[in-house]
Amino acid sequence: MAFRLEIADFAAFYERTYDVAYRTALGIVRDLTLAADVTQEAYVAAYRHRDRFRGEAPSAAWLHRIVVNQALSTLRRRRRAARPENDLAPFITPDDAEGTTSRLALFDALAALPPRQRAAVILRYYHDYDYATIAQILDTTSTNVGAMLTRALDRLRLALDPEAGTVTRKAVGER
Amino acid sequence: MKTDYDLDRQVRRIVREALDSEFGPDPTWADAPAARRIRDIERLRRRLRWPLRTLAVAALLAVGGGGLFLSGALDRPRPPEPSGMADGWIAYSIQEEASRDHDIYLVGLDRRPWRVAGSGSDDLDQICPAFSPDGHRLAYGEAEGTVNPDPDPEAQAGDYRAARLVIVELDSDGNVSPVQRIDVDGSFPPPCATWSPDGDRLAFGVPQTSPLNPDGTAAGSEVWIASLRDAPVTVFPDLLATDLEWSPDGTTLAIASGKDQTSLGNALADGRLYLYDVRSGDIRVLETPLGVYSFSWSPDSHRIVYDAGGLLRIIDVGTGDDSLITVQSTPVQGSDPVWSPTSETIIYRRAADSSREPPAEAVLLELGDDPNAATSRLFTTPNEAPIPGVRTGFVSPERMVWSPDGEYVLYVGWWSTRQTTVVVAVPIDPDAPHILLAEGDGISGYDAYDAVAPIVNQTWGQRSSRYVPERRSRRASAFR
Repeated sequence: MAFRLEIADFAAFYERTYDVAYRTALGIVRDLTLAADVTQEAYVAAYRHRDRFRGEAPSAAWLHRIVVNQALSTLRRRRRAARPENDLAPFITPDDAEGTTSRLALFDALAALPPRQRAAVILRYYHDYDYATIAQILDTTSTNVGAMLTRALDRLRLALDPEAGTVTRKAVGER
Repeated sequence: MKTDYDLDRQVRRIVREALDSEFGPDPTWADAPAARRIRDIERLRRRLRWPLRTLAVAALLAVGGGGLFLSGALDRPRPPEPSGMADGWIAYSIQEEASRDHDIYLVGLDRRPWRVAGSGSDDLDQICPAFSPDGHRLAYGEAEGTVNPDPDPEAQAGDYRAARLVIVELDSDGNVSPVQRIDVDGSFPPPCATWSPDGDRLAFGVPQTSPLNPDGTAAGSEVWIASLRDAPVTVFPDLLATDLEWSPDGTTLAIASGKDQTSLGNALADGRLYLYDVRSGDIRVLETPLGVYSFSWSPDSHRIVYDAGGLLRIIDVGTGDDSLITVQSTPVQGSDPVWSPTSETIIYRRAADSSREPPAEAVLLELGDDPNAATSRLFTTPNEAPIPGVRTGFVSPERMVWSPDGEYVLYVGWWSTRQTTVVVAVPIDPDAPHILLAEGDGISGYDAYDAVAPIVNQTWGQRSSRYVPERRSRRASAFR
C-alpha cells in the first residue's frame, strides 16, 4: 500500500530512487549507456505494472527486481554482441596502486561472472539484501542464492588473492 | 589467504565505492525518456480503453427547438478570399519542449514545417487545428496559460485561465491573419471544432468536465454551433460530446455522448448518438446497444461507423439498423474508426496485443456490400515500423485522419526508436513510400483532453495529394 501511495507521485518516486536503480543496472550490464537505457525501460515497466505490486516486499526491492530482470533480459538479447567495455574501470583513482590493482582484478572477475551471479553479487554486496530477498528478486530459492554467491565469491577470491587460488587448485589437485 | 569475512568486506567496499561514484544521466523526471514514454502510454491507454471508461453526457435539455441563440460572439467582418489556395498543407499542434507551450505548425509534402500560431513564450496553448473544407481557413482552440502535462490529474490544472476558438485565414504563402474569435469563457480544455461541409458553420464541444475538473458531471458542458455568416451561436446545454462530426452532405451534425462506464463525470452519461437536423433544428436520438465513443460518417451520409466498447459497429442513420462489423465472422475489435472520404474503406486502431496496452497498430478495413463480410489488412504494425528502413522500435499511431482525396492516412504516433512523436503520411498504395512529415517530442494529444474526448491534433487541407512531388519523394526515401 505504501508503494501505491508513493507511486501516485511517480515523478518523485523516480527522482528519489533513480541513482540506486541506475547503479544496480550498471553493476550488472557494466556499460554506462546501456545501464541508462535499462534503467529507463525499468521505470516504464514499473509504471506499467505498478498495479501488480502487492506489498510483499519493500518498494525498493520491487523496483530492483524489475531493474535486474530488465538488465538480465537486455544482456540475453545482446548475448551474441561484443562484450561491453569495462566502463567502471576509468573511475578507479590511480593514486592507490594496490587498491587499484585489487579493484581492476575484481572488476575483471565480476565481468567474467555469469549475469545472474553478477546480479546476486550486486544485490548482496551493494544493496545488502538478505538471501530471501535476493531469491525473490531473482525468482529462485535462498539455497540457490547461497550457491550462486559461493561460486561467485570463489571466483572473486581467485581474482583478489591469487594465493588463495593456488591453495584451491592444490586442494582440487589433491582430490 | 583471506577469510570469507575479509573477502566479504573487500568485495562490498570495492563494489560500493565504484557504484556510488556513478550518477548516470540527470535524474530529473521532466527530462527522463521514461517520463515521455509514460505520458505517451497514459495517453494511448486512455484512448485504447476509452470505450470502457469514457465520460459522457448529460441529458440533453431544450434542444428540440434548435437551441438557445446567443449573439455578439462573432463581431468581426469576414475578409475577402485570398487569391491563392492553401491546399495540400497539413496542420498539427506541437508542444514546445522548453516552455510546454502548444503551438500550431503547417507542413507540406514539399515544404518543411513552419509555425503559424503561437510562440514558445506567449503563454497560450493552441491545439487541434482544423482546416476549412476549402482549405482557406484554419480553426483551432486556444487557451491562456499552460497545462501541466503531469499524469497526475490534479497537477494538470496548471495556470489555465480562459479559452476560445480562433479562426484564421491562410494566404497562398502559408501566412495567417486572424478572422474571428469565439470566446468560451472559463471552459477548459479549449474547443476543438469540426467544419460543416459548406464551411459556414463550426461545431465544437465546450466541456466543463475534464481532468481539470475531475469531480464534475456533464451538467454545464455544452455543444456550440457557430454560424460564420450570420453570427448567432446555437448552444446545446448539458451535453458533453465525446465526438461530433458533420455528415458529408451537410444536413446533419452527429454528436456522440459516450457511455456510462467512466470514473469521471459519469452521472449523466447515456451513450446515445444525437442527430441534429440543420434545416429543421430537430434532434433525433439513436439508441445504440453499447454507446458511442467515437464515430465517423460514411461518404454517402447514410451510415455511421462507431466504436462501441471496443467493437466496431455500423448504424444506418435512416433506419436505425445497427450491425457489428465482422471479418470472417469475427467481430472487429478496435477504436477510433475513420471512414475514407471517397470509398468503402475504414481505418481504425487496435492494441497490438491482447493486453490493450500500447503500442497500437492501424488496420485498414475494406467493406463489401455487406458489413458482415469485410476484409482487413494491417496498415501499420509495431514491429514493422511504418517509417521505411526502421528496423527496430515502433510507431504507435494515435487517432488518424484521411487526406481529402482518400489516398493517404495521416497520423501522429510515438516513434520508439527516436523516443519522439512524428507526423506520418501513409499511402493506401502499399508500394508507395511512407512520408515522415515532422517529428518532435510534443506532437501528440493534449493532456487536458485525454479523459474527455480523443481530439485530433492534425488535419490535412483540401486538394492535398493526387501527386507526391518528386523532390519530397526522394527526401522521404532517406528514411529507408
